[in-house]
Amino acid sequence: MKDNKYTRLADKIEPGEDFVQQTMEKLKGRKQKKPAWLPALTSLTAVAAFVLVLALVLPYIYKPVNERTESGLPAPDIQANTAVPVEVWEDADYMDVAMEAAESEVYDGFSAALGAKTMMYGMPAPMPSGAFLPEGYNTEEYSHITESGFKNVATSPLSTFAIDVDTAGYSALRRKLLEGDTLPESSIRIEEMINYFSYKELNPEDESDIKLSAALGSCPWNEKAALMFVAAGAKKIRTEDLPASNLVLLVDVSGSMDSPDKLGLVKRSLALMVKNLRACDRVSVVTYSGREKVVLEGAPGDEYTRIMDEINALNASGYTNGEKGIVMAYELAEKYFVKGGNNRVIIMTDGDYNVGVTSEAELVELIEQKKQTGVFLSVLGFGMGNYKDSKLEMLADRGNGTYAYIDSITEARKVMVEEMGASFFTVAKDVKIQVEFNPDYVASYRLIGYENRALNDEDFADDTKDGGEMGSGHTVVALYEVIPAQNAVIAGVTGTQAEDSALRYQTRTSSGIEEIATVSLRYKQPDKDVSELMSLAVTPDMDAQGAGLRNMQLASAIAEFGMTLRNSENRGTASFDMAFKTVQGLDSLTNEETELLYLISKARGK
Amino acid sequence: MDREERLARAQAALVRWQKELVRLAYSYTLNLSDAEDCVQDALMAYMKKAPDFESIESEKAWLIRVTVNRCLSLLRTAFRKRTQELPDEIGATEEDKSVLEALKSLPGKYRVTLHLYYYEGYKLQEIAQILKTRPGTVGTWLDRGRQALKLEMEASI
Repeated sequence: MKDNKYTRLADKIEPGEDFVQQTMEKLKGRKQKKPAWLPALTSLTAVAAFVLVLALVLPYIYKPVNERTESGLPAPDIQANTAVPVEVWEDADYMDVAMEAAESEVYDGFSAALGAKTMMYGMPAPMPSGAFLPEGYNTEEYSHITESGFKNVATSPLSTFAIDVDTAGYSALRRKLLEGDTLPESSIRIEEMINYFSYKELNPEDESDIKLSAALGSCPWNEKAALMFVAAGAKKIRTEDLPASNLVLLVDVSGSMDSPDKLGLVKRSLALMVKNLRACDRVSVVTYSGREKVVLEGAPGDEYTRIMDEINALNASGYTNGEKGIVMAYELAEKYFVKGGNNRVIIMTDGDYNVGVTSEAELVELIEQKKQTGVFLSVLGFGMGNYKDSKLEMLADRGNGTYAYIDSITEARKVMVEEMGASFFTVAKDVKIQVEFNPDYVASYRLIGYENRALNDEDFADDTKDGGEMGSGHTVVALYEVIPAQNAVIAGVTGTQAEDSALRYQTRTSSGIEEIATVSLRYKQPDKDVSELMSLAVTPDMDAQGAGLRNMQLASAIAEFGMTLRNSENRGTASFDMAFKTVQGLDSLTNEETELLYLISKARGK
Repeated sequence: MDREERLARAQAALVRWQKELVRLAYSYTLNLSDAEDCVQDALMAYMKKAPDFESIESEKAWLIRVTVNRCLSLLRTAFRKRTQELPDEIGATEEDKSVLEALKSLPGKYRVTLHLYYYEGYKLQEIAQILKTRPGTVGTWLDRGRQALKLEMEASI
């Protein structure tokens, strides 16, 4: 763009503040002509469903009474009315089971009505049983996050964590913000938000598997601190050079998946992915609901029509028994195992397991046992309402896997086509990072995010301890908020805090080494069991510049956004406004970054 | 392509190009709310037609073309809002006000040509395609527009 009177004027023309919002509404609302009879029909259906549930529930409530009156009359045959095995009933809450039964019985007509409503209004449908629940009720689960806070370098000089390349946290957050939902604080994982975005010049230019980099800068929300940017980038394999794949698609077809934004989206996402498979790839499809079923076994990847015919014919109904499906999927993956190839089970689910192995501990054990076979796991989460984020993330963590949340067909394209290499081809497994801080320079530090990825310091060199996986072209970024030691200068910030001499028996002499920290990384090649070590010294002259500065500004703005959303106690002066301005100030914004701006403005307006 | 995907694509295009398109439409309408209306209409058309593009640049070119069309038909209707934009609303300096005055004296086509050339950096050939005219005509419009605005730029047309 040239600089002249005209372009300077044109630069000042900005769309109104609510322009994007209004246009979004207008685009959405194009086919929103609701026929007058439709609400009436829906409420009628709800009433009918309620009556049916009552009819089903009442006999169970009175069941003990029936049993007491042993008048010789046969007790009503409850089992015959339901598909649920009787042994499950004894442990379970009556109400839950009754709902389950109602769900599988009333299902077809009822969900068809809901489905129709969804299509018409262009809104995500509630789970079918959602109609029984009060409005706004949802049963989503997120694991609790406790922020780690500042650590004193004198007492804990090491910071150790497993990397996290999952992006589910960000896409779930985006969906909630766009729909104006409330955000549970524990659903906000800052490291996943940061790692959703692409950063420049962090991947290796040579043949090495991983490149480590670091940079220093000021901390926008705390004037007494500096920021240390640590990144690892995996090598990028060209699509044509990717090894043959053996993919087992494990599709949840239980009743709760019956909605256009769940099974419907699964089908459309798979259509995108299958189109890009090659003749050398193998595809199997396993479904699970009440029982597991092999739908397709070892089909060549170029038989698009055959694969998609099977996938498109899938229907959702019944309850969920995830365990058997997982076992079956791993069996198939082993059967068609490609040596040196990409062997992977891809689970597509809303994560709502309610029969079978449902305790997290047992599921973890199952998955950990299965990963010994050399089969990797990817978890793709779908849908809202009863979405079990905590279970899904844990499955992927333990199963040498990645975890993404698919909220739209656009996100499916990103995860399953554009970043297929990163999502489904592992370059390095069990990646862990350890940072040792030099007390001459650093008084205390705080790792932003990664709360549920923290490792014990001694686990770093222990190859039996699990780390995170990196796919082709992945980058992982971690930010440390660093308080300089007294009189030490990091990125222009001078430490003022006197050394904390709480320790009575330790005396410290300066090492004399002019380094702020050492970043070490361990990883294993996908088919190896022994890790390799690499490290990088962070020296005081490593102030962020050029692309590094842009990377740092972007990451710190996202951290600010995340901390403000979480109302973190460590947020300092962080605000939506500041995050917005920082992102806005970046040169040549990508689509993702533009969208981020929109999300920040949306969060600010709430 | 189903409705949901078309909606997602249109929304992405909105977020991606909103500023460029509104500025372009403004160069034609010289009124912010008219400009926004035109861009909205163009995006509605984008969602309805869901054209396939080879690159993101051709998506932008398509949207520019449609936005220009909307501006043209808006200027033709007698019912269009005749409210004058106050220069202060866009934080205009004295220099900007004189540029705005000069722009008002030009036909819309000239303004949009100036915009596509100086602001979007298109070549004469490309502008001719967008405006469905000959490159020589674009050169003339650009020259007159430049004179009116007294832009002493390189004359390499």
